[in-house]
Amino acid sequence: MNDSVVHHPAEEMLARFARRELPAGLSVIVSAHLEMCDLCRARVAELESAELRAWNAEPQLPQADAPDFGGMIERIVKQPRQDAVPMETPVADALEKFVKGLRLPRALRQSAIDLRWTRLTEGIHQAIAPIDHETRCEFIYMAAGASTPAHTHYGREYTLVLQGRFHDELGSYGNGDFLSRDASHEHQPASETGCLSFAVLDRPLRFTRGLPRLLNPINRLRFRGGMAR
Amino acid sequence: MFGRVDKAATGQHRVESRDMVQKSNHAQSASNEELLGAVSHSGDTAAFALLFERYSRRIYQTGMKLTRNEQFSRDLVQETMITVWQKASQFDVDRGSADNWIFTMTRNRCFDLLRKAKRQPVCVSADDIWPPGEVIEAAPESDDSAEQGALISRIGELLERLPSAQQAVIKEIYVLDFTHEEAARRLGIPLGTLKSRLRLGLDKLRYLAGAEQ
Repeated sequence: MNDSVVHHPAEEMLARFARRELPAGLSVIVSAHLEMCDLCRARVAELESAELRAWNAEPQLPQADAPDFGGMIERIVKQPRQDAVPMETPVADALEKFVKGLRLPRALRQSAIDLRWTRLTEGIHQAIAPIDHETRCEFIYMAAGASTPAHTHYGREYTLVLQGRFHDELGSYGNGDFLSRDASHEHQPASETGCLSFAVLDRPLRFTRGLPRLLNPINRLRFRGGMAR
Repeated sequence: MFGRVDKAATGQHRVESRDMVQKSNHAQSASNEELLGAVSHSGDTAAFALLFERYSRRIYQTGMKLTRNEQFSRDLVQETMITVWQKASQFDVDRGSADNWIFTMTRNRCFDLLRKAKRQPVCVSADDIWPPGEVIEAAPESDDSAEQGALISRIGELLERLPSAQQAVIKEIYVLDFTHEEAARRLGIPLGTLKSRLRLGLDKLRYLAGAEQ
């Protein structure tokens, strides 16, 4: 599966991910891509190592300038310790409705536990994942043969294919592929075999400047989906 | 460094239970990995106190650098060190150093605290986005390069078992990076001779590398 990943986040995005500068929604989608892509995982490993070296190289705060942490150790060691095995997040039943045998990337598991699906148009389903206030995150399922109405975005949209394949005017995307589209792309994604993806808009839709978008069918439907939460 | 740790572990934080003092004698020269192991296996509070001494100020600085807020930075120290205490058993030395693990925990707790401060939804935690010790050093490509490194150092040994004329040709081309023409000129041999020695030498190397496996 890993070899088939063709589309990756830009270097700048990986660097911002490694520096923890991305909003949570974008961090989640990049992390999910890394789990599906050996190449980007290796690249981020290099970037993270550089971060660690920089951390180690920073001069240590002199003891005299350090705050008094008195009592903190004693309070901490009263806390119970945990077993070695981390708790497994339950498998997301909410996705089984559309795809079988999905191995959901770890970063997405918590968000996928309690999804409410909304049908946007024939064959297109959407479920909002409320991850942060800076982005708008959603799972999108396109049934086999479905296509979305042509639309543009407000801001930039990032999409990760979780299972299946879809295409638009610019290419065809399979498992693990990560693509980014800005507002200038008017595109019309379609899937022949069915496709589950995770999408992040880097700017949530807002009412104040929203009237033209409300008249655009897909945005109107998306907006309604968002309001349902 | 140990002087500072000594003073801090016994004086400033009053970790004076009999158990802690006993253990701290041999723990002070311990590596961070060993200390984490001691916390993991037996809940060794003296080992934890030493880790606290070695890391708390760096964690505090990380918080200050990011937020310039003393209360936030103190909270960051507390949350990070609670994670170290509670989840030490999840530390796996095969997946990276203690530095690496604690640095990841520091940044993860920082991410979570900032989200909490902004009242963001709690349906995602940093440990899921940046799994400690998984993303950073378990990357497969580094395995490849390690394997390649091992192969390259083995080739050096194998090369010495070749006739010296073939060795010389291979070194000219694959170590010094000369073109075939340049190498032939430098060795004072015809180009055709160089090429045939190169082919024979590489064949022999391949054979030796295969025979060793």
